[in-house]
Amino acid sequence: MECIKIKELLSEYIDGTLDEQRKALVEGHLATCKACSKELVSLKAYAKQMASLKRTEAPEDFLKSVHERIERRFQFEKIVRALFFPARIKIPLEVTAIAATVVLAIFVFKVVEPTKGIIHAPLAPESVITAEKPAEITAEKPKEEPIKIARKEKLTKPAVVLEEEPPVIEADVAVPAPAKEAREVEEVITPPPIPIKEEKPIELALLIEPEVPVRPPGFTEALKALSDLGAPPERRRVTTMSMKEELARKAPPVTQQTRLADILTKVKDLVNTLEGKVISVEYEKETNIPQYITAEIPSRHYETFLQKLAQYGSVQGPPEEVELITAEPVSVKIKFAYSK
Amino acid sequence: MDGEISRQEAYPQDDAELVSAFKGGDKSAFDKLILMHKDKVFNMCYRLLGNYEEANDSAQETFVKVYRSLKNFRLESAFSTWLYRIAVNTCKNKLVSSKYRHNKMMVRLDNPIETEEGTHTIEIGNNSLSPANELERKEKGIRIQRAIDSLPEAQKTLVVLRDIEGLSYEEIAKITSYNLGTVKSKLARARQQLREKLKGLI
Repeated sequence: MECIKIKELLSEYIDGTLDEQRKALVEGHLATCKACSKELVSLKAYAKQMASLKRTEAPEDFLKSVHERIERRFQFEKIVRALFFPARIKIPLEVTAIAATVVLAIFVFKVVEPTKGIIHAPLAPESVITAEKPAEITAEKPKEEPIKIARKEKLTKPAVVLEEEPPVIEADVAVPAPAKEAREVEEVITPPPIPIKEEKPIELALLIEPEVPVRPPGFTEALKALSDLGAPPERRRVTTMSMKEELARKAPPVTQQTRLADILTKVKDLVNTLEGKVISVEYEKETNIPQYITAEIPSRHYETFLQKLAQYGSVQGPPEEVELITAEPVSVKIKFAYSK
Repeated sequence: MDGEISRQEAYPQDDAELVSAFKGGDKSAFDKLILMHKDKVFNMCYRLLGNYEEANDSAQETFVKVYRSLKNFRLESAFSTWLYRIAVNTCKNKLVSSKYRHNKMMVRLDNPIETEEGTHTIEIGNNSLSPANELERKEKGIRIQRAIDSLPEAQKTLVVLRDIEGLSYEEIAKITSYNLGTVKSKLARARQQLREKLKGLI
């Protein structure tokens, strides 16, 4: 075997790790090769030298030093944990803060949504009630005067509204409902505000004094004719008087109706002149004579209204002191009546 | 010839008992393990690093690591093998650190001849050395150490573990993760190179 290969095996040879076969080979070669033998000697010397190098021992306080190092490391990690673990908590806290904000936002959002529902909530229970008893709708509906007046018309319409309005309060569905109601209200009467003020109108009574009836055409001629017939003057006077009374008593309803219609027109004009507005007029069912007029008068013109109204009759009813909210118009309901 | 210094041998059975005791809550078992293995670990670190202070630092660090991991040590291999592996890796990390290389250079420039062995060496055996011989011995030791320092990391490790610490090929293979064949061939090469460096000295 070549020396190069033998030399490669010498390292293992001196460590005693060669297998028997290769060991024999090396020993056989060494027996005959001086160079390899010399190499082996050198190698063995090296090994010996290395093994005999002074050993450096650990210092006497090595154990103590290790303990101190462990303690320092523990304290350091404790501080690090204290620093970073709170950061870990911080992160969850931050996340929690964000989550709380989100939750709050959602909560607020949901509060707003149910608020929209709340606006319509009164309608929902009413819808439950009125679904069964449509007749009572007008009584329980939010005080909308148009409903009171056009009852017949309104009876069906709330039902329509209710059908469209789902029992579940949802913002999407609830929103159009009041708009619909507003439209329906508008259809009935010239635009009243939907949230009709709940204040009771000031109830007045206008006592209309029967004035000297306007002599019908030909009355004077008829009177002259009677006098020509030879009725004495006293009789004429009496006759005139009785005739007057009789005329007054026998004043046909048409005349009353006409007079009231005339006064109604004047009152309407007065309301409009004073920048108010006529809300409604109620008529007697049978005679169709105007019975009530409801109007709104700007509070600043209320006094004037009463004064002017007195032209047409005796105004009765208003309390001495009427609390007038200056910003709010005064609602008045005037009852027409004939004084006797 | 200089007396052969007995190398601190590990006793696996004793080690296993102490490890078990530590796991059982006996903290003093760890201290005993340190006392049993500190010198071998220290020397190993010293020869790998060529500097006493650095060796002290690495040796302490090794046992700190052992302390932190000991409760999880399963005794599948010998405790000493595991210990030495930690020591070698700790020194390996230090070797590649720039701070270590800088410090080593500075020491060499400042004290080219002064021994780095300090006063902690133990002379076992021969007490008949004259002071001249003693100085010669020390100088020789320095030069050998410098030659070891100049070896590549893998060769240095093999030389230290085998030729200085006397560990078996098998144990070296476990410590370094080289297979047995690689350990043999690398060691042969390392010895060859070191002998070249030490030509005329030995």
